[in-house]
Amino acid sequence: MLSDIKLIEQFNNGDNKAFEKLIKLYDQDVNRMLYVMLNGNSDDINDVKQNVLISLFSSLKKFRGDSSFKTYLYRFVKNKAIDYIRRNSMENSKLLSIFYIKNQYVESPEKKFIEEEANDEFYRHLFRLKEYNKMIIFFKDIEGKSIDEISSIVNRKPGTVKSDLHRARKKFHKILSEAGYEFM
Amino acid sequence: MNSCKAFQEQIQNFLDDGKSLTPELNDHLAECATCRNFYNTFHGMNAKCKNELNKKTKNIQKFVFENIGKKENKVIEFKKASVSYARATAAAVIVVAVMSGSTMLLKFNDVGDYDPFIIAENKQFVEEVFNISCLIDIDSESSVEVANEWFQDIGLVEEILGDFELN
Repeated sequence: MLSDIKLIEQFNNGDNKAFEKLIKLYDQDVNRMLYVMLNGNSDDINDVKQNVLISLFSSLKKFRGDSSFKTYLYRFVKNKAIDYIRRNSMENSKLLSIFYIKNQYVESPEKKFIEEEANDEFYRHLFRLKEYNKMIIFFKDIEGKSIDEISSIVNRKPGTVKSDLHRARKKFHKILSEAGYEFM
Repeated sequence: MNSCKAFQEQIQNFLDDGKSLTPELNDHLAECATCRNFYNTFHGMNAKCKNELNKKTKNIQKFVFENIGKKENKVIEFKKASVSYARATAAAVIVVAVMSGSTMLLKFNDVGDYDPFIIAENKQFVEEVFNISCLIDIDSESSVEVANEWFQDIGLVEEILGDFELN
């Protein structure tokens, strides 16, 4: 398999297929991140994803390789998602998100319904955190990134990220505890 | 003796750096439901949540490269349209210039008390307008090029033409 750098080189030399290959490598990573940041709203996710791809398509030439492409991509997606959230006042999106969660299981079998309802409940609680808190919990506790990697993505000092993360976890745990949710 | 707050900080350090749980913390977790719950929440999260998220986002696999193509085309169409607008603007400017030139020429013929320098300057302008109007064929690129050069020569409507580029 070609390395990220090789694919970027090929793309910069005019091979658009290389861009497609490069993005597909990280498709699920981007999806997971956008799912958390945009409260699971599929319309928002698709909008931001399109923006990300189109912008990346025209700005990948600027990638200097100072960090890994994956870190660069995460930073890129983060900025696009935050821009989108700011632009669209996510209040509407939050309402849509609850609507989406409540309506997507109408035809599911009962067992699946209960199981997925529990998972959705967990994410619904996660969505109640502020974007930054959600993001650092996502990177550390869901994606398993190191503090240094997160620091590079969110552009803050590792010590700051660590203390932010501790605060975010406490807030999240408080939300879960108040809701009577237990992570087994 | 450590409080729950201190134990939870230790749990967080364990989660962040992968340091091993101290015997003291292990004992505390066995006794304290709140701290155990805190530990369980974040300790198991990685594998479980990532898996769940992958399931949830599986349907977002529909990639949008075709949309990129469409948007790129739109940009190209817009650029083409911009060139057309620029041509139309150039044509409009010429028409206006010709009309105003004609009006001025009539005035020069009718009225003899204008400043001679202004009259001379305007006469030259009017003559140029008529000369260029004879060369203009709006649909022809070469004519647009001629018009463009002429506009630049006389320092006119640079602002309107802006970064007007010919194909």
